[in-house]
Amino acid sequence: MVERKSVKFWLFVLALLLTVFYLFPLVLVGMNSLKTTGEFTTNPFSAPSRLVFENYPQAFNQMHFLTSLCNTLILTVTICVLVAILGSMAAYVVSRIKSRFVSFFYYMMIASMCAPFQAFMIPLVKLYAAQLGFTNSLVPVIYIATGLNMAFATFLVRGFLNSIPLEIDQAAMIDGCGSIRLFFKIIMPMLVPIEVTLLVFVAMGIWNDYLLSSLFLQTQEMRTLPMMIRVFCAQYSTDYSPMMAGLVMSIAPMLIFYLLCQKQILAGVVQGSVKG
Amino acid sequence: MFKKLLAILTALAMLLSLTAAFAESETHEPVTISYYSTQAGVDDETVATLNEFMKEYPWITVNYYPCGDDQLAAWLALYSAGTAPTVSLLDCGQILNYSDYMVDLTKVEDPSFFDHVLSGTDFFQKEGDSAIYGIPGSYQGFSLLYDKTIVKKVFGDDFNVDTVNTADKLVEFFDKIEAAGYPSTVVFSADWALGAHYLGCQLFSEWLGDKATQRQVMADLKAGTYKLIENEHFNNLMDVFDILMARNINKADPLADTQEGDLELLSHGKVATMFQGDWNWLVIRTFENIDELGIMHLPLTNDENDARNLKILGSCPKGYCVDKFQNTPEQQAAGVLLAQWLALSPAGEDFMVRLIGSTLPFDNVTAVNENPLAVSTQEYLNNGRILDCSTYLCEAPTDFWLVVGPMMQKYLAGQSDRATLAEEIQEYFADLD
Amino acid sequence: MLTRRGWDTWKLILLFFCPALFVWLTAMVIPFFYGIFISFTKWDGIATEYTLIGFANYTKVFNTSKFWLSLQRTGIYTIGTVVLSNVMGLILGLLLTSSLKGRNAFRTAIYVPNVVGGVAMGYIWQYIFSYGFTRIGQSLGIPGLSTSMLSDPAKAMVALILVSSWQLSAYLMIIYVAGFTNVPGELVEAARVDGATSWGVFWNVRIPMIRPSITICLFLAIVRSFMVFDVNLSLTDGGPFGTTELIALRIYNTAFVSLKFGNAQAQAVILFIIVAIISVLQAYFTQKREVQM
Repeated sequence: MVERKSVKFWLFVLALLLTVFYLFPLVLVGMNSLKTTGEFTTNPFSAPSRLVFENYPQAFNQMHFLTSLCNTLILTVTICVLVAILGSMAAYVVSRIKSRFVSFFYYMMIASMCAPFQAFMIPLVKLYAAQLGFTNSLVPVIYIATGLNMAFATFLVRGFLNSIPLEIDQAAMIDGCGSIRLFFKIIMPMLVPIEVTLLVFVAMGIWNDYLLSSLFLQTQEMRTLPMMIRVFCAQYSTDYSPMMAGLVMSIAPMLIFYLLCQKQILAGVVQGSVKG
Repeated sequence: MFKKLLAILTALAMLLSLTAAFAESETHEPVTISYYSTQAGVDDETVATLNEFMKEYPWITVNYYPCGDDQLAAWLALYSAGTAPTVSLLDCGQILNYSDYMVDLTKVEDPSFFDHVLSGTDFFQKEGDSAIYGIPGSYQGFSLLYDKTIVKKVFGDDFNVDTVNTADKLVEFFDKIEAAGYPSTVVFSADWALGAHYLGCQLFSEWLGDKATQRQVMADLKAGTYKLIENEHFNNLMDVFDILMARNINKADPLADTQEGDLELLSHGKVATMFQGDWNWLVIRTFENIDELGIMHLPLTNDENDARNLKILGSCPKGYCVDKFQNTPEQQAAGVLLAQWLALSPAGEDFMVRLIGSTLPFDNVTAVNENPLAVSTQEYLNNGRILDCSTYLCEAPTDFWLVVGPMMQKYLAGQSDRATLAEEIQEYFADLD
Repeated sequence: MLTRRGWDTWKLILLFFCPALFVWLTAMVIPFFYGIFISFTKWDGIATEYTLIGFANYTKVFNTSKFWLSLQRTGIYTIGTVVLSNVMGLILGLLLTSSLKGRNAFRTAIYVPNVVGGVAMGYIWQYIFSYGFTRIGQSLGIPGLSTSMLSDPAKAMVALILVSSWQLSAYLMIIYVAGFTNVPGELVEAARVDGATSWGVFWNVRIPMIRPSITICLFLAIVRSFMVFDVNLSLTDGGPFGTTELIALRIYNTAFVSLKFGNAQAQAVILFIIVAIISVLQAYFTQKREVQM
């Protein structure tokens, strides 16, 4: 028992050290968001001589924060939902069905994750904006981002589907359950931990995405948070302090989301325990 | 009888002019155009300026496309999407690269706006082509930024920097500053600062000879037949660079500096000079309690009578161009109006001068410039003491600074020598296709 | 595998698999083939007609030694980052699924590097290396630390690997946490009851059970390392003097600074083929060894 306690203590200390290691750059950002830009460039590591809270309202206004937050939220939520549903459905087929058609395309999907975005960035614009007319709109961003995340989602969910025994499917089928009910009512609830994990990843990617958004969102009203952070970057100089304030404000929603997801992952484990 | 005829003729004339006036005001069909600016970080102010334009020209609606970080990529994406901006404020090199898609501004209905331009239209012209593809949007001077406060302390209030007119006198100048306890210079190590500003602009300028000579040298380099190490100007350039390197305050770790860090040293009197330009004001003005600053020339030869020793480098970095590839003739006409308004109207000039702190190469500038470095540039410009670097900015390959800059960085870090540098530059040119 | 046959199976495939397939094909594959087409042309970025020049771009790329050097550098960087980030990610995953007080808080704190995004993180780390470490080194009199790590080619590469691993391990941690969470408690208890040591439990129970996570993490780490761009740009920008220019940065510069779009596309296609072969083979072999329930 004593041994257990000291192990726990040292684990706690280790966790604390690691937290410092992973968190201190953000602490630096937070600290520097309360300085003036001149003070920051003079010494990025000093404590602020006076707390420049004005950086926050300045960032809020210059970034058109509410509009860009709205756009980013719409994108993130829609894409997450689409990717989670379509990707999990595809993963179900890959995991459960032996078919050369499916295997071939599954491995093609995995290979496609290696495609550098720059290789087809301009063709995307030519096809969706010039040919199909989707300029300055969130729609092409949603559709394309869903397609880009599809392979990852299928890959991720399939791995975890393999650990759900086939007997469950078979038991349900013997009971006369149709595929759709089987999938959505029985399998999906068991996938909650991995679904939440998937959501976290996809949300993170979309929240931070700059390149794809910049291709299709042209006017200020349509822009997302990562695009608006650039508003502080002039060609030869950057207004760092309000930019850091903007960064802190942009990060907050994602952190809250992740914190909430933690509870879901735990809850999913309790619910999804497979007994015999 | 004659009087009656005169009366009828006058009445007719008035009637005609009246109908002509009506006809003119009716030819203003509403038109929608777009504007793209690579002047990043001032979106809200740009929109405000565009709103003023729309008040003056109520039949024109201007949509604004902000640029973000990746200026060229976003611009090309607009073309790929079929929504090319009508007017773009772009770097001169980019305008010339894509000049096939731009309106020739000498052929517009009323090119009289060019009369106001003092200098810089050759930045938007190609060799052997009389067409002009851009209106100058701003002007930049660069050479040796210097701390006037330190100089006054060391040399007294009446010191005239024009007395430093040879390379040897520059060394004396630096020595005296160091003897008084101030580090004399800092070398900013960014690849674009060394590759484009120090090497590219200075190499392919009046220093090398007249424009024809400059072009010939570039052509010979591309053909692989030019021996750069034998060129006197290249050696003068590098001799002075050696002087700056030896006195670099960052000598211990020359590549670890940042632009803001170096400018802070200059602004707070921790170093006396820095080879950069008047655009640095945008960073300098964020510091508190800054010294008095100005621009002085960088002499490269030891000939006292060499007028070039007293000149600073000048360039027209950006210009307004009008797209003809994806814009209708009506849009192009409206775009020309917007371009010349942005360049030459009081509101447009005020934007550039007051907000961006830029000099303008026009004769009708009334806006007051708060940038002391730009004021220096204007003085040199007014006195004709400018070394034009249009050959480099317009005709050198677009990735010169990206490839040659690191070669200079290696030299700065003491890991390369002059012969190697010359050879690498020659290889770069010969390798172009 | 499910034993239903014939039309039922195909109905399932059509209903469940094809929607995803369709979106993927139209959003990724078709544009990519368009991009491959461009690699056979000489294109200026705007023209709507393309001048076909056959394999000229590919020949030029194959003969550019700087391209292969950059690729080699990227390979070294990838090995370093994949190993380091997975080791750190695994440790974090294990730690954050043990019975630890304030586990959720720790997980959220360590998750933070993911949300700040590559470019901003790179700039912050650049300041840490150029200002922070050097000031510490100078005041403590450590010569090795007094000059910025980013000024020396070898050290700059190490710095790049460290920062990337730091960021990537926070990313992989999420998957490892999910994986370790899924290890059935009964198995661990059963092993303990049978007298296994902590190390035994770890190596013989936990690791095999998280094989799917390891597959995914190795794959993601390899792909993301080969394609790294944001951190490369903001931390070193290829410096000092081009010695840390990794392949994605090189491709970007070829396209948007040198304006050689056909050449850049050819480079991208070659990169894709190399990375695809490596990572698909890796995924295939690791998946074969996964525990199938």
